[in-house]
Amino acid sequence: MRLTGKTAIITGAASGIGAATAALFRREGARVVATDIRGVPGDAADDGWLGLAHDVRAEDQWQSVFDQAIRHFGRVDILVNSAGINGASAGTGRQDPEHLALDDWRAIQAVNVEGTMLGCQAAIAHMKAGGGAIVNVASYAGTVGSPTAVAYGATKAALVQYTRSVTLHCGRAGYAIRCNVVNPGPIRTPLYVPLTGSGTPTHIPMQRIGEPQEVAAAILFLASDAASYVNGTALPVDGGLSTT
Amino acid sequence: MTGPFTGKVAIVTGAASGIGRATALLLAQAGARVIGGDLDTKAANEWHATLGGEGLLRRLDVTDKDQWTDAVAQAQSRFGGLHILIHCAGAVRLSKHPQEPDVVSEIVWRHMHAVNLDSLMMGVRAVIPAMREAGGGAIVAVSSLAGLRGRAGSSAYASAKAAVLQYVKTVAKHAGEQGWPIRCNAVVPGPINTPMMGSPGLAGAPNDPWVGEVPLRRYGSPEEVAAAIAFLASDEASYITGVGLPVDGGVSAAVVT
Repeated sequence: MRLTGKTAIITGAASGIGAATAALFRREGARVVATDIRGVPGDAADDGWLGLAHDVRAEDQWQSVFDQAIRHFGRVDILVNSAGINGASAGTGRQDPEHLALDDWRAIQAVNVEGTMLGCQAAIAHMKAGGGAIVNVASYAGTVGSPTAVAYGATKAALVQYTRSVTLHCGRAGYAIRCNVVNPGPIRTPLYVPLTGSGTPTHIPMQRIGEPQEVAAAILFLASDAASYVNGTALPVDGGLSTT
Repeated sequence: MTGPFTGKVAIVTGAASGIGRATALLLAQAGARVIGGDLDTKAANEWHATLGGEGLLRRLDVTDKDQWTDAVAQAQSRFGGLHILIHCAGAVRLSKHPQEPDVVSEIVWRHMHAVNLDSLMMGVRAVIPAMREAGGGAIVAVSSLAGLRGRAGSSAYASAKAAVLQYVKTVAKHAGEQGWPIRCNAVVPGPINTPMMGSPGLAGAPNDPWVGEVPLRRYGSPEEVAAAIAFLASDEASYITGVGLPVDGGVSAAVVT
């Protein structure tokens, strides 16, 4: 087990990539603080699991999540910022640059970018003395133009840039904190599947969409000591889509 | 030994030292049967004792296509197939030949590309049929931070390592489009404490310009690069192909990629 003795906070843990990551981390021996906006059900008998209702947009709630993590488990070693929304999941209007509503732009920015920013700030405050690892979740959609998901794409591009800045800041400050980001391609999650039909995705070199467990495995690598010299990098998990 | 690579057969080039040696050892500890290739096989006995089990170190000049063919045939005849290629063999300089663009010679230019790049092309070409026969495979090449940014004193090396990244993408895309279950990725090491870098130790020399540039404030170890290579070669990276993964302590966070 690769995360024995570690405590991890994972946001967006009620579904998709966050849920797969939380389950995998628990199997690998981590104590898991699983958060989502409406809470995360877990096995009440599992004393290594703490599910919390957590709005990542609220700065004071981040303080509370870290406080509860430390009260239950004594420390926080890993933060995975996987809470995220897109226009479809948020029920917004059209997402092209011409018709995007300012309120929709702000709603998506607030969860994806501000939520991650607040999480990293809280994590740095807690980890700077003893070290730690942060993994953010961006998207292939942040690396190319996203004409029908312009707000989502912009937030995911921002996360890659933000991750690099966290890395350089922690380096200058001498904190033993690694910060990386994954760039998932099309993954079978509640965020992605409603946007697509069935059939073979021939535009992806591997000719299939990915599974949340496959992204979780990459997040596990980046969060674990196996990645002890991997820092500030954006790792595509996209079946080769970024080669095309 | 059993582990995530139990049942897998791997060829690891540059296996006598540095990143190649650390990777061969890690894969063997995780259950793989490893054929190590190197020009230098003087330490073969010691290498074999360290690896234990069924691993072997053989002479492999990665610029010689016949030796690639022979190594693949050896994997098949001795271990029943081939699933993994880790291509670590490479060279950063040719004796004292300068590589600055105004003085670089054809000799050093061609040598750098032969050792670092042509070798990958020949290796990939040699292993694809065996991996298809084995039902799938994973290739991991070793690029370099020098392949992401300019470096005058290593112009030929940097050019070849940049081409490694591009070639890996093409192989990944082609394999996918052909329906072959073969993934192809690269690691992009930054400053690593290896003989190729002069074995400076993790702390580096006093006032080492490299260390000041690394957010983690130290050199990496060959074992840390090996861990990233093993991840990319494993089934855990089942949806990762065509990627160049930096293993550089964070240097590339400040490099345009």
